[in-house]
Amino acid sequence: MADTALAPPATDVHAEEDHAAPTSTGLSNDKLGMWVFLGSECLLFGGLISTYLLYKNRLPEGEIGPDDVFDIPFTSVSSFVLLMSSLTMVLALSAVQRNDIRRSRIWLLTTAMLGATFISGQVYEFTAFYREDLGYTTNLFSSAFYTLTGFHGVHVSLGIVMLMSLFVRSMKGNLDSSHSERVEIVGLYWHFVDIVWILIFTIVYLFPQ
Amino acid sequence: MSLRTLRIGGFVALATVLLSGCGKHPLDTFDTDGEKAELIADLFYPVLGVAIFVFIVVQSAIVYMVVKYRAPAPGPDDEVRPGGYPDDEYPGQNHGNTRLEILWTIVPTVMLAAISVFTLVSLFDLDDVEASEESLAITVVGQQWWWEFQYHLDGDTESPPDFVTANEMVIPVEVDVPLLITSRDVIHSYWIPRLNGKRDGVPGREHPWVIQANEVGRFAGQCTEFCGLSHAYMRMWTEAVSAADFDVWVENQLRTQPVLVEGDVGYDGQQLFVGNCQSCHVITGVTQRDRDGDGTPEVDTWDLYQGTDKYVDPAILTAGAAPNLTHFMTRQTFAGSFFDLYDADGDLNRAQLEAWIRNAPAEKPNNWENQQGMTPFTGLTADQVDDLVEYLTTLR
Amino acid sequence: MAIIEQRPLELTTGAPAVVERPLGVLTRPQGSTGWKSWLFTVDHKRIGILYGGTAMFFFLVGGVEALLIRLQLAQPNGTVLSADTYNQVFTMHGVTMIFLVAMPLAAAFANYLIPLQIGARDVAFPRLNAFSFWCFLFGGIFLNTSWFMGGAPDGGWFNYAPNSGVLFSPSHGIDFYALGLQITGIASLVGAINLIVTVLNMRAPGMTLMKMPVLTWMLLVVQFLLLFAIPVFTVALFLLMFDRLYDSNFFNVDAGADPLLWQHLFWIFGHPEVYILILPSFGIVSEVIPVFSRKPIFGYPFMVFSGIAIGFMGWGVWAHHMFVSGIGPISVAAFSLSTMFIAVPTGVKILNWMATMWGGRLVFSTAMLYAVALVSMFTIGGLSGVTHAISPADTQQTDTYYIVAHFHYVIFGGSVMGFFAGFYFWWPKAFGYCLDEKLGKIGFWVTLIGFNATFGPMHILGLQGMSRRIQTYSEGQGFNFWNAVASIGAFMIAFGVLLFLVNVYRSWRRARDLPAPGPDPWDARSLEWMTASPTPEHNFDEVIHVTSQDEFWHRKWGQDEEGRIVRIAATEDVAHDGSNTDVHLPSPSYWPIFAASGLPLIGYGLIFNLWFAVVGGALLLGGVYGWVFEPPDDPDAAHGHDGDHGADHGDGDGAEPADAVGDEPADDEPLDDEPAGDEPLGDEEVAPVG
Repeated sequence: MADTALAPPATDVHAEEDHAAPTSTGLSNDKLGMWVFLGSECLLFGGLISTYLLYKNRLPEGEIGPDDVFDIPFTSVSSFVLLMSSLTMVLALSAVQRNDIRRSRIWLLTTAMLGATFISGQVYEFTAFYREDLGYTTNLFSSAFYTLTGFHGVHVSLGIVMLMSLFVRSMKGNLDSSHSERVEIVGLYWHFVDIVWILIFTIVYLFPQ
Repeated sequence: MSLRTLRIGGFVALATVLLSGCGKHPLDTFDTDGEKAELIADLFYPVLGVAIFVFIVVQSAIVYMVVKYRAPAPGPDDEVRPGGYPDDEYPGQNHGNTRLEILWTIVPTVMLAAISVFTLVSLFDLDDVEASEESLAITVVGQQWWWEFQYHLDGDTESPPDFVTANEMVIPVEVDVPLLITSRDVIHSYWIPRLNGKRDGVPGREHPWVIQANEVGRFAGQCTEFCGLSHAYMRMWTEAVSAADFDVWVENQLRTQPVLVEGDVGYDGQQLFVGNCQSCHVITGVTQRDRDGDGTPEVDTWDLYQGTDKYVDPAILTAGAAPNLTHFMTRQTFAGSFFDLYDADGDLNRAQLEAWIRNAPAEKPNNWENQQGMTPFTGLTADQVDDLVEYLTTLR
Repeated sequence: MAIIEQRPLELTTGAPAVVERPLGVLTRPQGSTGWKSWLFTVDHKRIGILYGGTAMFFFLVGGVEALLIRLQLAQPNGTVLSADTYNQVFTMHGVTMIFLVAMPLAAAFANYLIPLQIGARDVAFPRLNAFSFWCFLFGGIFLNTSWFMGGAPDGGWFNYAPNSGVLFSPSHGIDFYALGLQITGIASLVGAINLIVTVLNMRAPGMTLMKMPVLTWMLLVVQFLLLFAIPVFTVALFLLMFDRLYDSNFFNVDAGADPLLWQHLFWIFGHPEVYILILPSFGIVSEVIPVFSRKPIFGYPFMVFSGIAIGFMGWGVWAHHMFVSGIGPISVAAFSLSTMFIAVPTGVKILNWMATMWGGRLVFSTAMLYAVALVSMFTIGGLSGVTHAISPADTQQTDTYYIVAHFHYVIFGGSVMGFFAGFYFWWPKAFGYCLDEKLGKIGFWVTLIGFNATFGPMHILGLQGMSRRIQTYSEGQGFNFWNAVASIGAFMIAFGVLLFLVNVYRSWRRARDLPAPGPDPWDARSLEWMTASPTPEHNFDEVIHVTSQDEFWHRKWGQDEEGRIVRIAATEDVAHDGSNTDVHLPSPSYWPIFAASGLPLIGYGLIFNLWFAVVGGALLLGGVYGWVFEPPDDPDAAHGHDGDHGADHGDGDGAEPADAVGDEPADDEPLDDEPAGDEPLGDEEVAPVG
C-alpha cells in the first residue's frame, strides 16, 4: 500500500563532508540575515536622504545654510579615512581566512580606529557648525542634516562596537579561520555603512546647493 | 449596551420608516447641482455599474458553486470527520489552465484600461476653469474650526482681498469661480458635495480648485480632513445667487460698518466688542488695532486702501484669527456654520447666540487654553451679553 | 548587529556531543511546562500561539473601542463620548486593529506554520523570534498605557502633520504613538528578517520555491513588504518624535516645512501595509479552499506570481491616498492608473479560488465558510476600491464613510475572515482538538450578517456625504437610519466574536470526551498535517524529502488506471506520530524578553524622565550582552549537541541518525525560479497525481 508514498530516505544533510552551510541557498543563515537586514537599511537611509533633499533648498532668506558651514576639504579627508577603513576591513577578513591571527588583529583594530577617526571628525564638524549658530532646531536644513548624518554616525559607531568585539574575541584566542564568516558578516555591514556615506557625502556635501 | 443600541436603533428605524420620503441629505454626492459634481457622477455611475455587474457575476458564480458542487451530506453509516466530511471521494483533479489564466488577466486589464481613459479625461476636465465675465476669485482659508473666504473681485489672488467673510461663501450662479484653498493651522478639506469634490487646505500650500452651481440655492459643506477636536462641527455653506443679487451682495460687503456714537442702538455693545472681542474678531471700520506700532490704535477702515494701489496688509481683514464679523447678520449660520442664526420663522436664534458668546467651549468642543477655538466669556453679565447681541444685530 | 543568531538549526537528529561550557552565562531556563516555559520559549509554535493569543486580546480591546464609536454614532448628537475621547478612541481603534491585531495575527500564522509548511525544525533565529514577539507585546502595552498617562493618541492612525505636532496635540498621546509603533516596528522588522531567512534557507530537501504552499509564499511576500516598508515608517516616526520631543522642524510649517512629507512617508509605508494585512489571509484561504474543495489550488504559479505582483505593485500606488492632498494632476493621473491595475492580480486570485471550487466536492466546514466569505466579501471591497481608484470620484469619496466601508470590507471581509478561517482550520493542529462546527457555523452567520449590516450601510452613508472621523452628526443631515443599522450590526459582530470565544472554551472542555482529531482531520495537503496534533515540540520525526507540491496529499492519494483518485496510503502510515524525542532543539533563553523589556522603559524615559531611559537602555544592553555570550543551545539540555557557537557546527557529530536509511543525497536545490516546477500546465490538462 505504502509502496512509493513513504518518505524518501532521510539523509543527514548536516553530516556531509562539505563544510558549507546546509541551507537551501547555500548561504548561512547569519550571512543571509545580514543581507536581508541591509536591504531594509537601504530604505531607512533612502527615507532620510529624501527628506534631506526635499528640505535642503527650503531656507528662508538669510538663514544659515549649507554654503555657510560646510568645510569640503575637511569632510573629504574624513570621508577618505572611512573609505580606507573598507580596505583594512577586507585585509582583516583575508587575514582571518588565512588564519593569520596576528595580522587579523592589526587590521581589525586599524579598521575600528579609522572608523573612530571618522566619528571624531563628525563630532568636530558638528561642534564647529554649532559654534556657527547652526543648532539642531535652527532651521529645516539643520534638522534634516543632523538627522541624516547623525543616523549614519550611529551606524558607524555600532560598527566600531562590533569590530571591537571581534578584536576582543581575537585577543581571547577565539577568532581563527573557522570563524571567518563572523568577520565577513561584520565586514558586510561595515562596507554597507561606507557605501551609504559615499552617497551622503556626494548628495549632501558635493551636490550644488 | 447592546440592548440600548437595539432600542435606539429600533426607534430610529421606526421613525425613518414613518418619515420615509422626507429624508433629506444636504451633503448627498448624487444630488448634484454643479457641473463638476455632475462630471464626477457621470464618471462614477458607469464604473459603479461595471462594478455591480462584476459583483453580480462573481456572487452568482459563488452561489451556483455552493449549490452545485456541495458534497453530499454524510449518510448514517459514513464515518464523519470533525469537519463534517462524509466521503473520501475525490472529483477530477484540475491543476490549472493557462489559457483561462491569460484570459482573466487580459479581460480585466482591458476593462480597466477603458475605464482609465475616461478617468484621465475627467481628471483634467475637473481642473478646467471656464472663462466668464466675472473675474472673481476666492481664497479659502481653513482654520480650527471655521472657514474664511477672501474675495478678490479682480481675480488677482496675489493682492489683498477686497473683503473677507466667514463660513458662508456667496457665488454668482452658473459661473466657474476659481478657488485657492489653504489653511492657517492644520490640514482641512473644503467640500461642497453637491457642487464638486473636495480639496485639502494644507498650511504652507495653495491648492487651486473651482466651484460652480447650476442653480440658485444653498449648498451644505463639511470639513473632511480630520482637524482636531471640533472637526465634526466645522461646516460651511455655499450660496449661489443670481448675478444681480451677487452684485447687490458685493456692494453691501464692500460697505464699511459705521462707528456708532453714544445714543445709537447697539452703542454699548460696540464698546464691549471693542473692549473684549477685537483682539480676535474684525469688524471692518470699527475695530481698532495698532498696526504701525506707534502706540495709538488706528481704526480698521475700508478707506485705508479702497481704490488705492498702496499695499495694505491683508491682516487688517483677518487679524486675530477669528471670523471677520462685518455684515454678520447677512449670514444664515454662525460658529463654523454649526448653528443657525435664524429660526424657521426668520427670527434671530438669540438663545443660541448668547450661549455661544458666553461660553463657546460648552457649545462646541474646543481647546481655547491652547488658542484653539473661542475663549469662554463667562464673566459677562446677562445685560452685557444682551448689549453685544444688540450690537451684532446692527451688522447688516 | 550583535543580535544575530550564532548558527542555523540543523534539520537533523543527532547524537550528543561533548561540548565546551561557555563562561559567564546564567543557568539556562529549562523545561517545557509551566509559565516559565512560555516566558522564555524560543519554540516557533509557542511564539505563534503567544502572538495569536495576544492579538486576540487586543482584538477585544479594539472591538470595545469600535463599539464605543458605534454607540456614539448610533443616533445624531450622540453624547456617549466627548470629542476628545472620541478622537482618542477612533485613533486607538485603528492603531490597535492594524498594528496590534491584524499584523500580529499574520505573525501568529507565519510563525506557527511557515516552518511546518516547509518542513523545518524551527525558524532561522529562534531567540530573535522570541525577541520579536516580546517587542510586539511590550509595544502594544506601552501604546495602551497612554490611556492612563494623560490620554491616548488623538491624531488618527494616519496621524497627519501638522495636527500631530505638540502645538495641536499637546498631550503625550502622539508621543506614545511615535514610540510605541517604533517598538512594534522593531518586532515586525526583526520578524521579517527571521522569516525571510527561514523560508529561503531552511526548506526541507526537495522543497523548491515553486513547491511551497501558497500560504508560505504569501507570507514570504508579506515579510519582504515589511522589510522594506517598516524602515520608511521608522524614518517618519523618528522625524515626528524629533519634532515633538526635540523641536526639530520637519513638520514645522512656519519654518517652511511641507506637511505632505509626512503623508508621502506614511503612505509609502501605509499602502504596502494594506497588502501586509491582506496577503496572509489570501494565503490562508489558498490552503483552506483546496482542502475543502478536494482539488488542488487552481493555477498555482499564477497564484504565486499574482501575489508577488501585488507585492511589487503595492509600492507604486501610495499616493492614491492623497488624491485631494494637492499633489498635482499629473501625479494624480499616474497613481490613479497604477491603482486601477493593481486590481488585475487581485482579480486573478479571486478567479483562481473560484476555479479551485469549480467542479470540486465542496465541504462546508466552518473554515470553508469563512474562506468562501472572504472570496465574496473581499470582492465587494475590491470593486469599491476600483470606484475610487478613478481619482475624480475619489474627490467625492475620500474621507467619507464610503472609504470606511471599503477598507472594512477589505480588512474585516478579507483579513479577519481569513484569520477566522485559519483558526478553525489549524486549531486541531495547534491544540489537538477541533472547534465545534455547529457553534462555529452559528458564529459565522452572525458575524457575516453583522459585518454586512455594519459596513454595507456605510457605503450609502459615505455617498450621502457623511465624513469620516466626525464625532457626531446633526438631525437634519439624513444619516440617522443607516447609522442606527450600522450600530446594530456592530453589536452583532461583537456577538459573533463572543460565540467564537465561547466555542474555544466549550470545545476545549468537551475535547476530553471526544476522540482526538489525529494528525490530519481534514484530509489536507501540506506538510504541517504530516505530524501529530498538537504539533510535537520537534515538529517532524524525520527529515521530509519533498518531491511535489502538496507532498503530503500525494503520499496519501494516487491514481488508478482509469485516472480515478484512490487512496494509496493511510494517513497514519504516512504521518509522523511525534514519537522521536531524540531531536536536538534550540534551548529556551532569558535574554529575548529581558532585552525587549528595556524598550518600553526607553519610551517612557524619552517622554517623561530620562532616568527611565537609562534603566531601559541598561536592560536592553544587558539583554543583548547576555544574548551574544549565550550559545543558542544549552549544553546542559537533554538533547544538546554541538554547544559551541558559530559557523563551526557539524564538526564533531558526523554520526548518521539511527533512522536514516538509504543513500540518497540531500537535494538542497537552490532558488528555483522556474514557475513550472513539476506541475505541468496546459489547457484542460489534469495533472498526474501520486
